[in-house]
Amino acid sequence: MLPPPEAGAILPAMPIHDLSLVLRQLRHLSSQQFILELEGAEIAAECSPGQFVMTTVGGEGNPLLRRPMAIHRVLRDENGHATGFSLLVEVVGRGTAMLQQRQPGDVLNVLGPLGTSFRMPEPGTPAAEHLLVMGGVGSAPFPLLAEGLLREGHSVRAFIGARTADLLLCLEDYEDLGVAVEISTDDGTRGRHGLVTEILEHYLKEREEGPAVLYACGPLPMMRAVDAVAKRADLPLQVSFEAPMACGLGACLSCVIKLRDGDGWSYQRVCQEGPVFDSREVVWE
Amino acid sequence: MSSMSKSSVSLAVDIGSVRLQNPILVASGTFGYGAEFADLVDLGRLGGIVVKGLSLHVEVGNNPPRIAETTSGMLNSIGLQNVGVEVFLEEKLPPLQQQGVAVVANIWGRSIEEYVGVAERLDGAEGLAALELNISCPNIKQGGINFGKDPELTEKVTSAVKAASSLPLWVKLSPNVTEISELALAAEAGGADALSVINTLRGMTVDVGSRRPTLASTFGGLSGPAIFPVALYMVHEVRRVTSLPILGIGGIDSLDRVLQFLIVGANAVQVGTANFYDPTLSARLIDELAEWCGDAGLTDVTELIGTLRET
Ligand SMILES: Cc1cc2nc3c(=O)[nH]c(=O)nc-3n(C[C@H](O)[C@H](O)[C@H](O)COP(=O)(O)OP(=O)(O)OC[C@H]3O[C@@H](n4cnc5c(N)ncnc54)[C@H](O)[C@@H]3O)c2cc1C
Ligand SMILES: Cc1cc2nc3c(=O)[nH]c(=O)nc-3n(C[C@H](O)[C@H](O)[C@H](O)COP(=O)(O)O)c2cc1C
Ligand code: FES
Repeated sequence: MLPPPEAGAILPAMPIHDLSLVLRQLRHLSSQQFILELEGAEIAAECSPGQFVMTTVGGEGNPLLRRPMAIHRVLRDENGHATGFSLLVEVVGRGTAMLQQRQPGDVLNVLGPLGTSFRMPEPGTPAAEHLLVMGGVGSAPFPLLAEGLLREGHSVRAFIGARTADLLLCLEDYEDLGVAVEISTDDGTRGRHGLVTEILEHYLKEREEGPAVLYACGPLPMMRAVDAVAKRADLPLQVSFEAPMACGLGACLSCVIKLRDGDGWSYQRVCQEGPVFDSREVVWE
Repeated sequence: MSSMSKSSVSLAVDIGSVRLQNPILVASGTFGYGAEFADLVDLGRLGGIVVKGLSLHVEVGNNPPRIAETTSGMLNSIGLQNVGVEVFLEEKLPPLQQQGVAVVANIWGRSIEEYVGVAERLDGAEGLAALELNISCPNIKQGGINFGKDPELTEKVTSAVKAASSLPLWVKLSPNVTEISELALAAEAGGADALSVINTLRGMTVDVGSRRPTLASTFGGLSGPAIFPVALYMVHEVRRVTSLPILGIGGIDSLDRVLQFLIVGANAVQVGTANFYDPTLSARLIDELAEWCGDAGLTDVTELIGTLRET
């Protein structure tokens, strides 16, 4: 079984592996979105929700750099042993387009697991509602988080936003796990016509009093809006950030964002101090 | 089949008074303070670790985006973000000392006084093999002219740091000059014990959609396989004018590149950008080099250094 992340821990001390992994399967979800299923029991068994990998995309050193991708699901055999993991990818440029062309049996070089994980509730804390807010391919890390929270007996609800109905992600995962979902699309083709933050705010108004915890990943304007909602509702929020990365290991200092530091701020690394941050620590500008 | 086992090949090289167990080091800014790679590379096997450039005080660095991928390379404008020399000595150096690896402190400043300040603070620190002077920095006391572009300034900053520290001094040359051999001679005149050749090349890219520079600071330093031929040529040029030890740097992505640097006269090499996309390369190169030497009938890697034949 996947060892649950240590309660309250944000820096898992699991070793980082650099592995040549065989691609088992590539499933196309839409013309622009796909799921890669990779071997890699070491990474699968040791990763925590929110962590990511740096992967080659094929092409023998061209492009030069690996691409950061969140770990989407842990794949298990019939005995529940972790045997591999999946990535959920959206094509945005050359590297992701090359990934989309990979075939089963191809080998990718994958470094991981990397970065911080979502902070899990301390054992014994009163049951709270865990609200996962995602936009576009920001959905990728959430099925694994939902699985972890459910295993610990928490209640989970997913708020999923997309441009249009065909691009809604992870619906199958949440159906599998039995997680309630609320949907919004920019063009109104499914769910509420509008932004995911609107369905979140609506839900927060209607729900019964009680503790709740928010998690968000998606485009920056969306995360900023969720941060504003969380502040208004006085609820804790963890956000998962993206930034251009060269190493994923904390060495190159390319991936920084501004975090509060004393009376001021400092640049911190998304690959090392993140990708998951407490939204109250982020300098939103 | 190899006629000699790789264990019988000596890989040790001398960079002036510093003996390195092999000629494969990792370059400043591409390997953090070493600990970042500890899960992946046996640090104690490396020829040396050159740490991220250190300044007197903490440096926040440039605004992001700080990198842009280019054809066979990348641009960076990190802005020399670092923890500062005090935190380095307290937190970063002790775990590295335990690895028994040669640690080289790369230092920089905005004035000669700042360079000297860092060098003084590091003087006598246990477990430091050498200082490496990054002179690709603007001198704020002289109209922002780059130390590394001006032979006089290069000599001045080198001799000032040399006088302030008992550690061997490696001067890292900037390739953004017309005649790198002049800067090499200036560093030698200032008392350099070795030369690191080269730092990154100036470059920029534009995002066509927004018509803005890709990097927040407009330009950055180009590194990676794309710069290898330039770096090799510059090592060749420097070797023509000086007998100082040279550390060849730029675009190393395979053993072939290491061998080319050694043949033109580098005494050791530093692996840079490749650490980002192939983090175990440095350690593999040590084994590959030993094996290659064995296969080539060499008992000592130094037999290869500076053996370029005339055409
Ligand atoms: C921690 C983390 C987790 C991520 N998880 C996922 C995921 O699960 N699924 C997914 O589809 N995408 C994810 N991304 C974004 C993904 O890394 C980029 O979409 C991808 O790198 C783009 O590469 P490209 O060659 O197609 O695009 P190009 O625009 O051609 O890439 C050029 C360069 O910019 C970088 N870059 C471009 N966009 C981004 C971005 N948004 N974030 C970081 N670097 C970028 C590339 O890595 C490359 O170095 C994640 C990013 C981070 C930082
Ligand atoms: C992200 C990054 C950060 C760097 N930081 C430093 C630095 O702090 N000091 C320094 O002297 N050189 C620095 N360099 C330059 C490298 O040490 C090296 O000289 C250069 O990248 C060329 O080698 P390469 O092509 O193998 O990367 C940096 C390079 C990169 C890519
Ligand atoms: S990607 Fe290199 S420090 Fe974060």
